[in-house]
Amino acid sequence: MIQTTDKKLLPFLAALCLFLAAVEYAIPKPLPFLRLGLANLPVIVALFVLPTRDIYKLILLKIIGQALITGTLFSYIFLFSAAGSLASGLTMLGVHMWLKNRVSCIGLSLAGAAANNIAQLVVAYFVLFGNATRYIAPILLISGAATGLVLGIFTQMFIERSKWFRGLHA
Amino acid sequence: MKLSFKPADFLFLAISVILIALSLLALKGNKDPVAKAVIKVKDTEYIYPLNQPRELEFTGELDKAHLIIHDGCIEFVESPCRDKICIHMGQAREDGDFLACLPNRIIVTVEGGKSDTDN
Repeated sequence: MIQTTDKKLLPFLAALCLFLAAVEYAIPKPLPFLRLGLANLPVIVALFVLPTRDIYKLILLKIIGQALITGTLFSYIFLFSAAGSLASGLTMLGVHMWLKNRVSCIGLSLAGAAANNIAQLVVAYFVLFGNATRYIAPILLISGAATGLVLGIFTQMFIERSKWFRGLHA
Repeated sequence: MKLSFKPADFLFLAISVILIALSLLALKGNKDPVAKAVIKVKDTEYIYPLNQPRELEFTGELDKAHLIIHDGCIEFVESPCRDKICIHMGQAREDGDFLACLPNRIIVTVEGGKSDTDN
């Protein structure tokens, strides 16, 4: 992991989460729990450029930022997004530390999406749907894998081409 | 456009696919152990468990139809339709069984319980 001395990087990536959450909020959704997960892009990028301690902070900032944007901070929906973001963030961090260069953003994103969906299904089982959770599980997992794959491919392309990102490594 | 997939990416792709497959299996296999009759009368659905005997009367498109639930199955006993195909269809008791009376717009399907695919 590259240690960066740039103190502005964490707030910048957190702000990017906030912005992407706003973009995502503006896109209509067929069902409330089908999400694109755009705000995960900065988290994936952060894995390569931020020290571990700052990645934890970024995950928390992302959770709070997203809740503020979507207006769900003090509602039970917050449980879903917090559990999902925490699970996906920590999973991506773990996978990245475990597999290092053997995994690209695509694998990271897929792992994060899977963790996010499992966490949300667990919360859904206990809070909202009970036994009926199995009816939403396939929809959630299929759409999550699809959006996770697309976001992963996009992030990988971004990381390979971005001059800004290359500058961070220099 | 080249995309640099790395070996471990396929691991997580596989995990995602396995999760989806498991969720679909849970949907199919892990049905409610009690079989239920889902009765659609015109545009309204009624649901009754098949483990309690019951006599039912529904007013369909034509007139009143009479169904009974007994011994874990459901059947038509009286219907105002011309051909009485619904009565001749006999009993529905297992997951996926159905009875239909098209003229009177009453459709019965059995959901849950033991099905053929479980064996």
